Parts: sequence; C-alpha cells; structure tokens
Amino acid sequence: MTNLPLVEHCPTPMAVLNKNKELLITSRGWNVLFKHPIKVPDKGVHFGEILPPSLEQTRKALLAFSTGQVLNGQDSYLSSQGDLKWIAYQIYDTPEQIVINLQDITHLKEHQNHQYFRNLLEKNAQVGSWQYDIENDLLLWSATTKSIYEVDQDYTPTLQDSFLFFKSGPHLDQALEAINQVLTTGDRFELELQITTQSGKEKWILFMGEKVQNHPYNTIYGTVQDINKQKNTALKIALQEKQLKSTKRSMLENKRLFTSIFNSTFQFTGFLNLKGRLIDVNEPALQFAGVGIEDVQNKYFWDTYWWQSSKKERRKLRKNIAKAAQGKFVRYEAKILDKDLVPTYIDFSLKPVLDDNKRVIFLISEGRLIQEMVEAREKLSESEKLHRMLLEHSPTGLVLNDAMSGEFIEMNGSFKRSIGYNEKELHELTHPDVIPKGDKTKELRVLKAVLEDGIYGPYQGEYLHKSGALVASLITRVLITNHDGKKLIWSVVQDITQLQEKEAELLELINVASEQNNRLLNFAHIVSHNLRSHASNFSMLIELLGIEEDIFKKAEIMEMLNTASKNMLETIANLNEIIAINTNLNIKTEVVNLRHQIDEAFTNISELTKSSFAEIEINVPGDIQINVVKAYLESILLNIFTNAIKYKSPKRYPKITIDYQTTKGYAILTIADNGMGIDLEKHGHKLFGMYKTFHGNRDARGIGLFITKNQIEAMKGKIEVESKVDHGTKFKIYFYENY
Amino acid sequence: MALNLKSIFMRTINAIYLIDDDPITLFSVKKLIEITKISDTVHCFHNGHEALEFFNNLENKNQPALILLDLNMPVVDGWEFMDAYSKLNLSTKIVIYVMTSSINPSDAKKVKAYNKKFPFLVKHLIKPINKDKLIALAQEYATNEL
Repeated sequence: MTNLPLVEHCPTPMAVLNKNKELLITSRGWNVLFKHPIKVPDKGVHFGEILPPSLEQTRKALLAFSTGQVLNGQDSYLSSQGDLKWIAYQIYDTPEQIVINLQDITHLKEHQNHQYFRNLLEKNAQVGSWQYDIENDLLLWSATTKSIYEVDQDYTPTLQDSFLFFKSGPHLDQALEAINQVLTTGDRFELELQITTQSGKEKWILFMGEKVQNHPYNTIYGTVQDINKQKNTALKIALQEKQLKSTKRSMLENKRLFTSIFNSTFQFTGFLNLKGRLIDVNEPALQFAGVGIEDVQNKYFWDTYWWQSSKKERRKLRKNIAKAAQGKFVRYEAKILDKDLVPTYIDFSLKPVLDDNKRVIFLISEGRLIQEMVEAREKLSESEKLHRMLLEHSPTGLVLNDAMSGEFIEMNGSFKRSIGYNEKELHELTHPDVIPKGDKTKELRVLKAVLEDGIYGPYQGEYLHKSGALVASLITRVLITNHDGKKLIWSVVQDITQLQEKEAELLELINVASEQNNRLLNFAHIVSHNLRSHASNFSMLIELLGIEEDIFKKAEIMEMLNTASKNMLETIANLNEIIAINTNLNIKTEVVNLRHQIDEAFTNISELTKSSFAEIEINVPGDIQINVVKAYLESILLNIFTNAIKYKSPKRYPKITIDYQTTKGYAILTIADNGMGIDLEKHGHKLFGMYKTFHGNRDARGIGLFITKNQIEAMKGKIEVESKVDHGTKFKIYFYENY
Repeated sequence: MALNLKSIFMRTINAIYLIDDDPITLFSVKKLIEITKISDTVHCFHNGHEALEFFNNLENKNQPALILLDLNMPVVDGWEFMDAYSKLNLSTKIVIYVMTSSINPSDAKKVKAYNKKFPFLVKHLIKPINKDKLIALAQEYATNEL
C-alpha cells in the first residue's frame, strides 16, 4: 500500500490511481510540473480524461495498461508558457494502485538534439568541439575535432596530452596560458595556433574556449577549426603582399638608382622606340646640347639638335637606327653638335633591347665623348682663345673666306675697320662684293694660284670700302682645308692706304721741296745771270765811254747806258714780283665765279680779240665757284688768252676753246687755241722758264708763262701743256680744290 | 812801240761773228773789237736762228775764225745753235766763245762738255767783255794757230 500522504510530498511528478484508473493523488512534483494541482475529482472519472490533453502517448498507454504491466514511453506537451516539454513516463501498478511516474526529460531531449545539431554543424563547417569537465578532469573531443587532430575516433584525449599537439614555442605557450586563464578567471579565448597532427602534419587551427558560468557542470566548452587553408592563404597573401611591397620598394630604389646613374654618368644615354623617336634621354646629353627634354622628347632622333651638324650625319644615324631596330648592335664615331654649335666626335652606339621572344622592343643609344677629344677641346679652346685674341687685336687685317662661295667666315677688327663694314654686313656679303670691279679678273687669277700653290702673295690689291672708296692693301692669301674638307682662304690684309697716302704726301713734299729748290736755283740763276748781264753791260758801256773821244758817240753810249738802266730796273721789278708770288705770305684768297672771271678777262682784251677776229667758245658752267687769289687768276687768264691770240697761226683766224672738268681734288680749266703751236720736244723744258722767248716776237719779254706758272703753283695748282706745231696749243690749269 | 810790237806778234783774226739778242751787248762788244783791232770784220746776229741762216747761205765761204755766242736767246739759243752748227759740217778750225754773264758752275761745266762733244773748240767767256779780255783772246788764238 502506497503511503498516499508520502506521495503527496514527493518531488517526483507522480500520480497514484486506483485500479479503475481513477486519480487518488498527485505528488507535489506533478503539480510543479504542470503548474497547477490536479484536483482529486470525484470517483468514477478516468484519469486519462484529466491528463493534459497534449500527453497523447501517456493517455494511450494508460488506457492500454493492464495489471502487471510496466509501460515506459516518452511524451511531449506544451507548457503553459508554450514551451515544448518532454517527459518520460512509467506506468506500473501495485496490488492496490496504478502509479504513473513522470520524469521531465525536456533537458535530456534538448541535449540529444543539441548533440545532433552539433554533429551536423561540425561536419558541415569543419568545426570541431571539445569540452572539459574540470571536476573530473575529463576532456572530450568531438569526431570532427579528432579528425582535425588526425587521431583515431576511439582516441581518448587528456588535457595534458592535448598540449603535446601544439607546436612548441609561442604556439604552445599561448595555448597553455589561454587554458590557465580560462580555468582560473573563465576568460574566453580565441587563438590562431599551429599544431602538429598525429600524422605529423602542421596545420593552423582556430582554437577557442570559454567557461560556462553558473552552469551546473563546471565545464569549459571550446571549438577547434581547421584554418590551415585560410591561414596559409592569408599567410601567402601576407607574404605575397610583403614580397610585393619589397619588390615595389626595391623597384623604386632601382628606379632611383637608375635615374641617378642615368643622369649622373658622363655618358650620354637615351632610349629610342623602333621608329627612332626619342623616349627619354639623360641630363648630361641635354646639357651638352643646351636643350630641355621637352625640345627633344618624342621627336625623331635625327631631327634633334645634336644631329644638325650635317645632312650626312643625319642620314647615317637614320640608317643605323633602322639597322638596330632589326636587332643589330651598331657602334661608330659620330659627330654631334654641342651647345656652341661646335661639331664634336663621340663614340656612339645603338643597342637593341630584346624581350623574352627575342623581339626588339626598344633601343638604347649611348654616346661617349672621346676623352682625348675632351682634352684636346680644352687645349683647343685655350689656344683658340689666344688665337682669337691675337686675331682680334692684330693690327693687320685677317679674314677667312670660303674659297668656293666666297662667303665671310671670320674676320678681325682691323679688317672690319679698314673696309668699313660690320660683321653682320660682311656675313651677308661674299668676297667678290668687296673687290673693285676692275680687279675681278686679277682676283680670279689669284684664287687660281692659291688653289694650286696653297699660297699667293704678298701682292698689292684693293678692297672696296663700304663708302665705295678703294682700300689699297698688301695681301697674302693662304689656302687651308677644314675638317669637312672644305677649302677656306685666310687672307692677311695690310691696309696700305695710309701708307700710300703718306708716300704720296711725302712725294708731294719732295716735289714741292725740289720744286722750290729748282725755283731757288732758277732764281739764283736769274739773279746771277740777268743782273750780271745788266752789270756787265754797264761795265762795257762805261769802258767804252772812257775810250771814246767822239762826243756824238759818247752821247750814243750815254743813251745806251740809260736803256741798260731801264732794263735793269724792269728786271728788278720782275724779280720782285716773282719773290712776292713765291713767298705768298698773307695773300688774300676769295671764292670767285670762274665763268665770271673768264668773261671779264675777255672783256679786258676785247680790242685784241676783235681786231684779230678771234672766235671764243666757253664751255664753263655758270655756277662754278673756286677759291683763289683773285689777282693771280686774272693775271693767269689774261696771259694765257693773250698768248693764244699773240701766237696765232698766220694761216687762220684764232679760235679759243675753254672747257671745264673736275678730277680728284682739282678743278681743271682747259684753254685750247689753234695757233702756231710750239715744238715741245725742243722747247718744252724752258717753256715756263724766265726770259725765255720762242717766236722772235719783238714784244716777247719771256716772263708771262713764268709768272703764270708761279702764280698757279702758289695756289697749289699746276699747269700742263700740249702742243703741236702749226696746230695749236692746249693749256690745262689745275686749281686745287682745297686751296 | 809797244803797240807796234803787239801788232807784229798778233795776227789779225779774219772775222768774228757776234750772236746775241741784247743790242747793248752787240754794240759794246763790236765797239771793243774795233778798238782792240783784233779783227777787221765783225758780223752781228740777234739770235742763233739768224746766224744759222747766214751760214747756210754762205756755203763755207768766208767762214769766221771766231764766234762770240750768247746763250740765252729766243727762237734758237746758244746751245741749240752749237748743236745745229755741228751738223752743218763746216770748218772745225773755228773757236766758239760762249759769252755769258752767268757765273753758274753748271754753265761752265756744260761749256766743257760741249768742247769735248764737238770737233771745234768751245770756250767760256764771262761777261763783261773788256779790251784786256779781247786781247788775251786774240793772243791765245794766235798761239793756237801757231
């Protein structure tokens, strides 16, 4: 017999029925489970009817229960909160009663489900789980965990053994510390660690664990996830990234290094595409040419500044770039221009750069100044400086012409000064432009001689000054051949204009001096002869006067003495006049109209011209002004004109033609007559002498032309004569313009 | 006496030709010749041209032994006269006295040169002419003749 009151206080959910399956009592546990006490109803009500409706299985079992049976089963119901609750029931009977014993297996049932889900999860996500029962020092690994660790499924792990899987070093240390931490403080951990599996494979796992606080079981739950793939991938990526970075860095460094080498080497380096366009070129090459990268980049290499020394050089480059683009290495001595346009030789090469398929992708062009050239250039520039200085400051004119074209290449200051052109003007001219027309054939002969013999001269030639004047020069011409094989001619030009002028001046001075000397001698002669002849006349007459006794004859002698005295006075007067002309101190000069003077002279001798029926033709313009001593001019014109009539031809009427012209420095008056003329071969030397008469005229005093000549010379002019006996005489009177 | 002696030793010069353009000189010299009596015949010419014409007309007849020649004359001067005279191929016995008032040494030189140049004698006679010079001249002429 069940002690019913005892049942009432039993914590286990229990219901006691009579054999008619009518409720006798429910335990306190039953009431707690269903949250309400089942009132013991009146007899006669089947317990099945008062069971919670959802307990179908239990109800069926109770209905089917017969004495002596023990029925076990499970059932579920919805709690008043709406939760699904699981119970396990056992129905058995005692002699008097039927007992329904319930056990809440909701927890168990849920656990079973968890297990299932966990396995499913583990299998699908490859996440293994583990749990460690602290109290019992019991470690459990799930199947997945075991497969991660690559141990047999029947392997039984221990906590101690589990540490052996971790890789010694930081991995093991971290695992130990994490477990210790979670044991003592319950801190959650999540670590990526490396293990060595049972089969010796190293792999990465995500190792997690946490202590479940306030859990009835003092347990640590954890997971293990095989992250080897991800980790390795990540590591690989990290590694790759690192490598990439370092590659980048090293590339950057390389680039820096390259750029610095590219730009700091003395060598000229450039890159060309296969078409020959310049992709890039280094700083030294740019500096050498004095150009910027923008001037040359992307241009055809042969069109760039360096290659403008000659067409030939450009063609050669172009040909060789085409060769290099075919994959051939090209090297030759090239001539390029430096920034001062000086052609410079470099050791030049074109190197094709190939890709993996042996195809040419671009060309490297390199140029190196030939070292000797560099040194030679320095020396040359020094000596050039010196030469240039010598050239420029030489008092002798130096000029360089192209032998063929005649163009001016170089010239010094002396040359420019002596022909009056500046450098710019000369560069636009050629040699024949500065040679007087009359000298052209002579210069051609000189050129021929220079080309044949290499040198010609010194010879006296002339240059044409800018003003049109001639520059007398002592010239030596020397042939040189420049580096291009071009024939050039250096000319050493000594301007001797001044020298010649000086020479002429000197000659003039000598002439004047000898003229004066002559005049002086002449004068001495005149004095000695003429005065003495008068004196000797006196002397003879006086002697005769002493001898003569006849008074009439004495008177005759006295008469002669008188004449002699008159003659002597006249001679003295003439000499006086000559002295006055020759000393010509303080004689007044004035500007007179030449035509007027001529007309006036003819007016003065109009009687003479009329009576001799002289024809006068005056071809002198009315506007000619000359600076003269007026009295001299009057005397000169009068003397010449009267002479023309006095010495007329007996066969014809006199005709006088007067012409005017100018020449360098002189105004020339030409007076031509048709008179008897004079034999100049016989008498030329004494025509202008004193007391020279030629035609036996009684009134000829032999003084006119002598005075005329003296007067003309006193005005720094000169007189010339042409004459032919029986045809006439022509006097040319030169009036000095600057007198 | 003295005069007589002189005249004995002196041979009279057959003829003297005077060539000078100066009338006073001609008059004076002619008078002095008459006074000194060194020659009985004196011919005067006003210039070289006149004298040459005279020589051409005479054709060697009555050639003078002596010519007193002035230098400075129009038309044909003394030098020109001598040049022309030498071409006439007349007697070389003639003596030409170049009469000049010039003391210019170049004239004296030229006289010497002309003396060498021609087969006849050319001598220098410096003016003024006086009796003594004419007598000395006549004596020299006589000496040379001997």
